[in-house]
Amino acid sequence: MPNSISKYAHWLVIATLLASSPAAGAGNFVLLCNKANPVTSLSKSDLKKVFTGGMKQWASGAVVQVGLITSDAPETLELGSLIGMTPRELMQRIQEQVFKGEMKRPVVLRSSADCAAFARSSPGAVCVASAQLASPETRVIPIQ
Amino acid sequence: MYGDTLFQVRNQAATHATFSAPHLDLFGTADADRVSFLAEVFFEARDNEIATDVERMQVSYLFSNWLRLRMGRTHTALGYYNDTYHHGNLFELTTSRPFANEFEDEGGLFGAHLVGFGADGTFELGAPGQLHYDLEVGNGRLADTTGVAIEQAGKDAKLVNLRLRWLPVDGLILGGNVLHDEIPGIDASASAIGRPQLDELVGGVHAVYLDHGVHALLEAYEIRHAASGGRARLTMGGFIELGYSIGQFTPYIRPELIHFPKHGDLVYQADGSPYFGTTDLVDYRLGINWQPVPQLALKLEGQRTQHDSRHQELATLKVAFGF
Repeated sequence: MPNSISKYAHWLVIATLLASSPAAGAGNFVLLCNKANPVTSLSKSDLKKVFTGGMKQWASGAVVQVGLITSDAPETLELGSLIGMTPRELMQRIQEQVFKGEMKRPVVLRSSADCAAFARSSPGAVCVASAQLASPETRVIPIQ
Repeated sequence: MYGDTLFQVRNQAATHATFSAPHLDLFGTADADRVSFLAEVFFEARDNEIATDVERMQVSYLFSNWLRLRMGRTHTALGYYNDTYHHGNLFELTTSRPFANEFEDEGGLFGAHLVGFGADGTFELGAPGQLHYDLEVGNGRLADTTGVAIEQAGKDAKLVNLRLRWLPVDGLILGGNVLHDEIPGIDASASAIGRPQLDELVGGVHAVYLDHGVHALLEAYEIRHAASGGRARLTMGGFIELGYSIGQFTPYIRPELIHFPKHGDLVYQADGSPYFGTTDLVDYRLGINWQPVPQLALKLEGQRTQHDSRHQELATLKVAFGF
């Protein structure tokens, strides 16, 4: 009996670890911003505007500064699925908007940890990170 | 950095096939919180020589979503095409701009560049979507309408341009423009072609849908040129650009029409102009754009351009890139 409990506990730990891995599923990512940003939620349409230059300033007055992992990283795939674009389409749109002068160049991030650090340090920051990295020093923006 | 190179075959020309590497575009931006700077330095082939031009050089300050001020040399906020597509061909679906939207020195009908001051912004309307405005004041046209008044206005009157756009849903833009300018006259004793001072009034509408793989642009305009006490001459035109992306491939078509006044336009149809003696210009494009990676587009396009009964056919293979 103690052996089988130990076996179940072992599998429970593995399952928990898998579920909390950044690559485990879409629900494990969050939209992060600076803790001073009072935004309470964003619609998917507003999120698209934020990431494609249609919204340039937050209600707090801070200038929007997008952070992106420029690859098919799970964070970027999650962002793309939220706004109905593939990562490639999103990158193209951003490149066009920067060329038009409608958008600041995104800050290039390499990981969720970079996103968390960026959200902590920049008042206008917005990026997607693993939910595990949300902390009191950042704010999670719910997507409606 | 953007550029393009092409191979073109055409009839009704002295040379029927040519390679070309005509454009190199150096693009830079910088920003510090609310201040943004943008510059586009363009190297362009003309008569087998490279000419250099600063095509855009603008500084802007963001006050809020509904107010941004900018100053410098920009692309006039006229219609959709002119300030959406600049000198980097990578982002254009086709191999080149519509005739009407060509740049000043390449036969374009509008003052594509503006040296002056502009304000723009977006108002959230709630359920009806967004309202976007652009208001511009600048040097406007020179007597030589192929030039841009970069450093000295050729007149005291200034160009004024207003564009309003309604964005009801993602991807859809419905807009309209009114632009007023004055074109200085050319003294007949000082030039082979004399021309009185003209009042220029441009009105236009555009409808755009870019989403879910659909690329649909419609632009229409009317340009009124009138000398003091003289009869107004109206030039009308427009184009429809339609494409649909299937993976990396986007097949497209673009018919364009320009109708010049029966008695001739004093600006567009002066002796030596590409439209001299033309009443109707009709241009058809049919092509396919293949973008294997975001930095590279290959475009294969067939074109038929008709100046009344005269016509020319062209086939172009263009490679456009941007990094």
